[in-house]
Amino acid sequence: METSNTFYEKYALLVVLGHYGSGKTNLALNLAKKLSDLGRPPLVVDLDVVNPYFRTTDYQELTDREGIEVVGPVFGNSSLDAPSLAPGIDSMIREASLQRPVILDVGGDPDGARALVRYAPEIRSVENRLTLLVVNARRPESQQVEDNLMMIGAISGMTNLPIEALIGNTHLAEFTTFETIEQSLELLEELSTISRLPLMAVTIPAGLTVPPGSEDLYLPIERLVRTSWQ
Amino acid sequence: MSEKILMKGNEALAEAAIRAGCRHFFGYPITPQSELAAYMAKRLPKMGGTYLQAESEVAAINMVYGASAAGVRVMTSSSSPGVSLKGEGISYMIGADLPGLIVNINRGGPGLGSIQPSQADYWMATRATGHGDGHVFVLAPSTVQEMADLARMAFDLGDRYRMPAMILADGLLGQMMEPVEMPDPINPADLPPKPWATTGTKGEREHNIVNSLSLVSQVLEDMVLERNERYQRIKEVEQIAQLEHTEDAELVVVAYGAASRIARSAVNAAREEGLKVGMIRPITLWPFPTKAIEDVCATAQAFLSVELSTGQMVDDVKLAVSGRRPVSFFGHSGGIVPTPAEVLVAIKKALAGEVFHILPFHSKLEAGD
Repeated sequence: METSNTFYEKYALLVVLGHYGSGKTNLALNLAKKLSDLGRPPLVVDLDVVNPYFRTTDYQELTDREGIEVVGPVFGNSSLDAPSLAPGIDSMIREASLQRPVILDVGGDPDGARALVRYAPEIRSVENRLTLLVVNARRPESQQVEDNLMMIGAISGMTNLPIEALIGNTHLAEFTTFETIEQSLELLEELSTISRLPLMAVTIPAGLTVPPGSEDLYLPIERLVRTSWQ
Repeated sequence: MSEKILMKGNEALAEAAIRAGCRHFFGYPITPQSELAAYMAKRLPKMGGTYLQAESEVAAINMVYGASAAGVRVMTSSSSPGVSLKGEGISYMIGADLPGLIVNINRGGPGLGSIQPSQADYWMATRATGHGDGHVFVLAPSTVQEMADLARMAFDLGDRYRMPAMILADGLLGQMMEPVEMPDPINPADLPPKPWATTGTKGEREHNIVNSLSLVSQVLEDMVLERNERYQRIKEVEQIAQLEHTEDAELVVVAYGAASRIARSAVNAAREEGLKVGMIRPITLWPFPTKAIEDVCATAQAFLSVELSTGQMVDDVKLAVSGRRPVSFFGHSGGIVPTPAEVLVAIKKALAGEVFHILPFHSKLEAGD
């Protein structure tokens, strides 16, 4: 299996999909920060129309600091529970480039991915794109290979866009240890073999030590999505 | 299953309810509790249970009444405006002495309010879940693990005392994710029998009647008084609170649910500065943990209630303190969550002997200096 913890550098468009609570928003923010550090501040599009809590548009302070532009639902940061998407997302996706990459942070499950359907033609028009399934093996509905295969099928079926790769994002919030992550590798490898989707990388909380020789596999990320008392 | 998994509060509560032997859920969707209903919709039909999205909250709570009368563990979940609608049905359940779990993932109000976290349903939960002389148990989790643990406790308490039980949480607890360890599942067949339930006489006993209507005044008064005796017994033995650093505390912060997470950060920050501050976290809101408050009155000089409201639980703190010590309040409303820094400022004010009821609108706290 060929993994590379710098895979995200090669794409103009990254579509982040997965189960509710797999860590899509935290991953999207981390990838955005990394691209920004490379001098290519991306545009992050918050396409989550299903959950009004813990979403990219909640982290304006961070994104402002990093020079990351966030496009959210029209009423995303208000108290109006109205599924709405910002205008102009079509052209933003079409104009994605290596210099100005676009990250789509999509809502959880097939329900959340439904918002992608109307952008499928634009997404297909971007040649170097990657649709990525985020897998947290410590989520109740992601613990088995079959559950993840069903999720892949259901999201692809809903969006009419094939999922092209996997990223391991197994964590237990602040209680994540290296063992938590190591224990998930077997599942990820089996899932990758059966689904024939490459495993791009496995995230690890920044600060945890990676065993020598496997640096390419692990993508260090920070915990940017937090509760207000942390 | 002993391995910890990462769950949302709403999911953990749903799974724990199933493991407590609940196989019947009647509800109506509303943010921010929808994951709970969605989880039940996926799981219950596979286990021979019932998930039903009713035509309204009023219908849902009356289905809960019916299922409970038939003796099964049953629940509904909603958020503030939806719980208002359930009020009549909850009162009928109280009047018919029926257990059942009602989950309120509190959002901002009044009216349609907001979908952001709030604790402004404290009064409704502890004073007026419905009309008449009655109460429900009110349990207030503050972690995802407690969302699971208190769900089971709510079913057990409800069955033991023949009363509805409510879990009062908020959007933050419902939506946030933390690792949880799920309790072992109970087979519904192994639950204690309910001899009062309407399960069919099979020609072997008198009819059981479940009803809240009583047209003879003396009969009704006897029933209300019997229920009131039960309430007094519950107030004696079922109060639960968590105490932190209260032994030497000059100021005791009282906070529940998500507000207690923020208050704890502020209390710990105060301790680091050498300030003698402690915290009481009510876990049962009804019965309110008056004993814990009375006990610390001996040593504490003042109290500070921190809530996501304009000040509701502070009334119960004052009743328990009973004039012996000053009680101050700090809170936010409208879905705004106080920051630990703001609470720390309020803590210092209270320690300095000030007595206040602060809402940022009329007295903005300068946090951080």
